[in-house]
Amino acid sequence: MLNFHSFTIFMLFLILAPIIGAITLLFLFIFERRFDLLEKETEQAELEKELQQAKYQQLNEQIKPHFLFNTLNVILSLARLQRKDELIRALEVFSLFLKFNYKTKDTLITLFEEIRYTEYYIEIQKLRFGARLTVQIDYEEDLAESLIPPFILQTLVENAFKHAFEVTDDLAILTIEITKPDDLIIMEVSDNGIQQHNESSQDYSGYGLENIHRRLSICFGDASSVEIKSTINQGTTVQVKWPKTTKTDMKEVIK
Amino acid sequence: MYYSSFYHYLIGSVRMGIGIGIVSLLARWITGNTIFSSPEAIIKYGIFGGIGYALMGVIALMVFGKLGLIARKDYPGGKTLGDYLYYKLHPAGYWLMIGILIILSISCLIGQGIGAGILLNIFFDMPLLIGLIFSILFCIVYAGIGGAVWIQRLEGFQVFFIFTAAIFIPVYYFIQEGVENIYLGIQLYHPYLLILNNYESLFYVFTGMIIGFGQIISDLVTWQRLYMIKKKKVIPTFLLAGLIWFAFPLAFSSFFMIVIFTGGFDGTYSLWLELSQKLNSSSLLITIFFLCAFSAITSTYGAVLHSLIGLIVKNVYQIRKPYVGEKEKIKTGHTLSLFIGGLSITFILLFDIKNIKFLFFFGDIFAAIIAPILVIIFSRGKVDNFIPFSSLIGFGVGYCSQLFVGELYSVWISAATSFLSILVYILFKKANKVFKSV
Repeated sequence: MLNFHSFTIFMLFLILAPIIGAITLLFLFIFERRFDLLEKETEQAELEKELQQAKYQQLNEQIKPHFLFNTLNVILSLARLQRKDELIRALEVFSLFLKFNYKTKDTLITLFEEIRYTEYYIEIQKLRFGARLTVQIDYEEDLAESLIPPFILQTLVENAFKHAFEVTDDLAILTIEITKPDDLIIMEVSDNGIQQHNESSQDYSGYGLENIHRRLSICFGDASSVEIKSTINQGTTVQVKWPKTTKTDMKEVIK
Repeated sequence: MYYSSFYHYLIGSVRMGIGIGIVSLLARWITGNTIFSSPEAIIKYGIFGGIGYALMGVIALMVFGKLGLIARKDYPGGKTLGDYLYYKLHPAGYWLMIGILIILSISCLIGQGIGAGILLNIFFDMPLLIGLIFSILFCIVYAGIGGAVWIQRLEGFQVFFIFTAAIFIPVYYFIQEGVENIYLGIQLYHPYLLILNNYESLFYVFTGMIIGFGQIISDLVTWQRLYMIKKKKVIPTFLLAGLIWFAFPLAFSSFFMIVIFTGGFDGTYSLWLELSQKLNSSSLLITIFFLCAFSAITSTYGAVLHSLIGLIVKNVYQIRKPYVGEKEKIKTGHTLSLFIGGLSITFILLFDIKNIKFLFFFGDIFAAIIAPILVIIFSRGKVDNFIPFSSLIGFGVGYCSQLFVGELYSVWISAATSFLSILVYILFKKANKVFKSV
């Protein structure tokens, strides 16, 4: 039988248990946001580090002599041919493109901005490839304000040029499709480059895709993914998925 | 409250962290039953029966946190248990499970409605029908029509009232009466409560654990919260919610020690009358207790009503009418809240209010549904129709066995039958595969 001493301890426990519960909840309400904020700051720092790496890589990839001289040669030929309007547009686009690459500091930008700056890159490439290049971009208008880490689309498009279009003289068809099933955004970048074998994987040895995967993981965790599918003689499709987030959602998270 | 979409009505605008998640889970799981049944556990099975009752909730919530995370990783796009089942089951199994979940949710609403009726009847001498209509109408307005945003707004206050009662009432009376007097009174009038080697209580505790786990694993509100809580915070939220919940059945049990130490009693219902008389001596304490009990009951009723509306609109109505507009869905939700509220009042009036035996009927269903849901969670891809149907087998066998072995044993039989039938089915399927390959 329970003696008086044990009964008193039991009663003390009955009284203290809800008090401890209430204190725990209060502690969580006061400090959880601070912990979240600290965690967010760490993530932000990590993301910024990744972004710097991405930018460095981006500049290495794009501003390498091959790309730069080709573009300058195209601009030079436009000047020689007295095609003034096209020349001005080419310099304008090239300047905007470089400005975005050097000045982007935000860890997340809107999909609209990402598409716009990728279009500058494509426009420069159009000067180089001429009629050989066909580009199709499809996305739902309401996705424009969704957030994305910068250089994701641009890296995928660059990869298409590097691995598919620059190694052949055939017609170059680039398709960008962005859809929104449920709360996810799916971005697919497809090229018609010649492939040696069928392949589907989430292993990406290239620095660009690895960097995309890392940055998406930091921002969106397991809800994001990057997948490459290659089909013989049909080309390659890179599919990137991440949860739909807007600036309003981010503000609520911070609140 | 204006909602632009049914999604907003269902989820609200807050992505839950640990604190809000715990409050929400406590609002759901500190129910009328926690207040009304936990003292019964201590009276029938002694102090260790009371601890056991509290433990069953802790373990069930903790285990669910881990299982829920597996389910969420398996299907991250879901919002309700119905979404998850739609992803994992074939049509026949899906509709069976949806049917079972609707029945179980309505049973929960009936249980809470009875609690509300008893509460208002005891404390305000309000006629049962009036008390019921008042409480249920309150829930329909704030949860059924107000939606997720209003539920989240009120949950904080409701949990605050529950905490206030659980802290103030025992402290006040234990100081006023003195622990020694209470101990001596219990030793004199109810010495069986202090017996340590009450092995029957162990059986009761484990049976309670099965029912409690079945309740949590099939609870629409808990699954909805699972999808609302930030993914990396799911496990700590459920863990801490379980640990904090542990305090409440024990605190409510202590209310009755304050009453029983002065003499004998006729039954649990008479204990409530005595408690109300005792609390009447202080208008502050009676107000605190009433707010606590009313909050516990209405927070559960409201949350279950809202999640049931979510299940019916999102996982039944929308599947039947895929192109239905958002406003139409919200309007259907409002109509459903009135219909479900009315239905629960009708059922409660059909039952004898003090007869809680019907709860054992649902105890068998809760026990029988554990194995199928576990198999659904741990399976990869779609699950065969037999798995959900095994819950019917388990329930049927368990319920029939009540005639021979009693209510507590029938719960074990229900759980074991559904588990064994699934085991036999899987072994048979594997043997068939091996036989075919040979």
